[in-house]
Amino acid sequence: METRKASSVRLEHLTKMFGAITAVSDVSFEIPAGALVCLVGPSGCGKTTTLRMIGGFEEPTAGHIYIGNQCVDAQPPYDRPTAMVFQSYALFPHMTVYENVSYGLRVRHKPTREIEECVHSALALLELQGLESKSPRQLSGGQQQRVALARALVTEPEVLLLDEPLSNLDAQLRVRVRGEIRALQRQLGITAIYVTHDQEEAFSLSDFTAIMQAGKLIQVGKPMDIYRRPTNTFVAHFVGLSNIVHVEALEVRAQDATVRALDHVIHVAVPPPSRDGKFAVVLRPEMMHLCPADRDGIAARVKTATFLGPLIRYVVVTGAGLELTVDVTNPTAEQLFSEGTAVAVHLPDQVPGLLAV
Amino acid sequence: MATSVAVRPAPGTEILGKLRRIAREPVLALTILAVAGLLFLLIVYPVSLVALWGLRDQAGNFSIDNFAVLWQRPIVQKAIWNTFVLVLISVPLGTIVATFVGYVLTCTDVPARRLMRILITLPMIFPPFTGAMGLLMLFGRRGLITYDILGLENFSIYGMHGIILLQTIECIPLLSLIVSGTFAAISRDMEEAAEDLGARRLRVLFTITFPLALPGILSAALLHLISVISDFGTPMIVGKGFSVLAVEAYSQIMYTYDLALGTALCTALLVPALFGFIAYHYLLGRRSYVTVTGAARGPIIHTMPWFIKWLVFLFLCLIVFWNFSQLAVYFAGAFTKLFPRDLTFTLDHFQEWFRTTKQLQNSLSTSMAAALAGGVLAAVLAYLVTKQDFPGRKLMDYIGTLPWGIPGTVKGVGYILAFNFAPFFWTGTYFILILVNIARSIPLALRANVAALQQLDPSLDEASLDLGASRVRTFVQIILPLIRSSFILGIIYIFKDAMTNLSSAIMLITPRTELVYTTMFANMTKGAQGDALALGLEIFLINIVLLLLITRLTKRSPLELFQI
Repeated sequence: METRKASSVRLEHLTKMFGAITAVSDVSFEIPAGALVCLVGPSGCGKTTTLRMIGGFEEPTAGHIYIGNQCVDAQPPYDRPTAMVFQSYALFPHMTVYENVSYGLRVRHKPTREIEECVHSALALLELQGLESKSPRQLSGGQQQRVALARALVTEPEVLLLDEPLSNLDAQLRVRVRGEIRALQRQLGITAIYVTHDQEEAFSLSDFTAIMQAGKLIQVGKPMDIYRRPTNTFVAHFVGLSNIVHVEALEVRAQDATVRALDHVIHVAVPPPSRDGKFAVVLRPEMMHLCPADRDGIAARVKTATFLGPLIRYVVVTGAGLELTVDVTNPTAEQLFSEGTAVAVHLPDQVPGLLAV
Repeated sequence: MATSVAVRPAPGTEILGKLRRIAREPVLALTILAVAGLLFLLIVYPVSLVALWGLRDQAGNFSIDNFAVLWQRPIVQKAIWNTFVLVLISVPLGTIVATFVGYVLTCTDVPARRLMRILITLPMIFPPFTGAMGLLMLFGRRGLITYDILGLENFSIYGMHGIILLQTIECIPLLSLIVSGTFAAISRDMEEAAEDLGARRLRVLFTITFPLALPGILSAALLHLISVISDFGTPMIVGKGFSVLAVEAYSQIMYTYDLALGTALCTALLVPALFGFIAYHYLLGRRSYVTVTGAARGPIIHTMPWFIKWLVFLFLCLIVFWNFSQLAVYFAGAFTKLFPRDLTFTLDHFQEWFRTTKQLQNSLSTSMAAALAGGVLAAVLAYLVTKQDFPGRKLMDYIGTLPWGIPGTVKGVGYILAFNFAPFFWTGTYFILILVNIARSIPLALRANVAALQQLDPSLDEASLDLGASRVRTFVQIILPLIRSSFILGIIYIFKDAMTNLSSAIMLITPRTELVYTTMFANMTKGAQGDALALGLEIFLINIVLLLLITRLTKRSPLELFQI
């Protein structure tokens, strides 16, 4: 299996209502051909519904879906050039691995020879040789997962849809398989849409991550951009532990800004989100340092200290009563504080972005 | 965490969306229309005709006056009153006994529980009319016990007390099975929590166990209500002068050809039965909280004081003994000249088997055709109502289950009214018997298939469509193989039911299309006891073969055949 034909996917004002409940609300974005996009958000945010609308299993209440340049609104699932890997894998229990993987080709009435070749190369690609005549029940979770993937890929879809495909695997296997999925997707150059609730999984896999909340698309971007410059407090919290600190705008210019947070001047090298000067900064725990109280910094007191292996996570309370979470990796002897100790918090001089509040 | 928004789509948008989606798939759309059409033709149309006929006068105009006049006929009043009294006594009595049996078999340490459970439920595969025939031979005017042993001259088993006795004993197997299931679904945690809070055994029983089981008990009672109202065979045989609605409607139409009175009686029969059905459905919908608590550990098994334990055991033994003595008498009657008058061994009665080969052929062919057609219809209908979303889906499910609540007599009259006139002239044909058999038994097959489909991972269906398979291919290659055993079970349900269809078939047969079961019934009513019993054993034999077939084909316990 070489590089495939990949298509872009475009969603235009996609909305889905179940009765009075809006599951997906006016979602628009475009996925470039060959990219892997993760839809991520808390459970019930509409990510799976969005995926199912692309697959043709749910009828949008409003809006359009384009695959390539073709509008697929009127196509039932079996006519769409998509293939889905289901959360439960949905392997047909009354068919062998070979029959499962060949199903999509048999349905298309391909010649037997061609079916055999395709299935074998798909099984080889996913290292499933020798399991052809096994029933899905006899396979391990990881193997079942790969059969589901082989079954989807063998039909040469233009778009691969994955609905939390790793949620039934244990933690270690999950990390391994997601690496495999990423490598495979790159190798085949296929467009893929991947739904997950795990932001770490999303970041490690995707070219673009789309964050959804309560049916709305909140932010789309490269993982690092989202982490560094979340557009609102929900995203800031969702993609990692954050301290959100309201700031006083000192200078707001078109291309950058200077603000004051907790008596500390911070420079922001990107255009501020608005001109009205109501901002906050996202201070990730790893962006700050703790020093003994006699050093420079913001005076605070340690509330809790939690040892997490690679780092110690401190929650400190500043003189103004603000709680901050600070991670100290590889702590030196003088950075080991017990609860109740007075400390100085050192803030960064620059942050990647501002939040409008 | 989907939020509701202020702007709601205009009402109907959703329905339009669903319709649009269905319309894009002509095969699916046509299937839905065809199934809906069939349900209408087989169930809705005949039954509504009964009510419509009941509501019009000689000139054919709509009129309730007519109804009012009919109600004042003593014959109608008597039938209604008798049916009412029967329901009032028979239903609570049967429910209480069956609940008691179900409870002790599930929640107590009564001896030999597993064996007892089997022995108690076994009468469900007994030959037809075992109870009624046995009762007459043992306790009839010339019965073995009443006349020969006790020498009673004036004792009569005929009448209301006979009917109540039979209905109560005969409801125990099925009803206790249903109630057992409800008790078994109660989580032990609930009872233990109550005990932990200081409640005594009996208090737990009445404040926790029974209230939790109540929906199940009530739905069993409603099923019994429907069957008591609809019961045609028992009052026909042991009623003798005690007229009930189901029998009276039959007589008015078959003997006096009074369609107006017949349909009016049918309407009176239909209303309470439908009420029972609707209430049953409602309860089933609410029963979920019993299962939500988890069936993992089952109820606490209560230990009883030894004397109560053995008293209960004795009671169960009595039921079992009663049932099996009836069966023994049944066999005795079939193999002797005239039980209990002339006990000479004879095989003469079995000549009836050879005299009725035509009837057997009719029975087998109409039942087989109904089973195959009905089995497929039930599976397709089950697929549509569980896996598809279209306006009217719930209604279709409901109508598919509705025949449960329609007494057989009403179905029979409805079919006469519906298919005796243009554009259908089907009365007297095999075809009408096939149709009425499908209509009669589709609920069981439908429920079996729906239960199986609900357990299927919905993604399986979608995965097949996603891989490019059409709806038809998905149904045949994915769905049917996965619900195979329920599908077969459904077919066999319908076959078994059709073989013993009396109340509606009896109104639709002609001399040419007579059936084994109706012939057996005719033998019983004209006093050819031995011949009737021989035919009963023939049906029994066919049932046993079927049971073996089920176990073979579905690898399921034959007892599942009886579970609703």
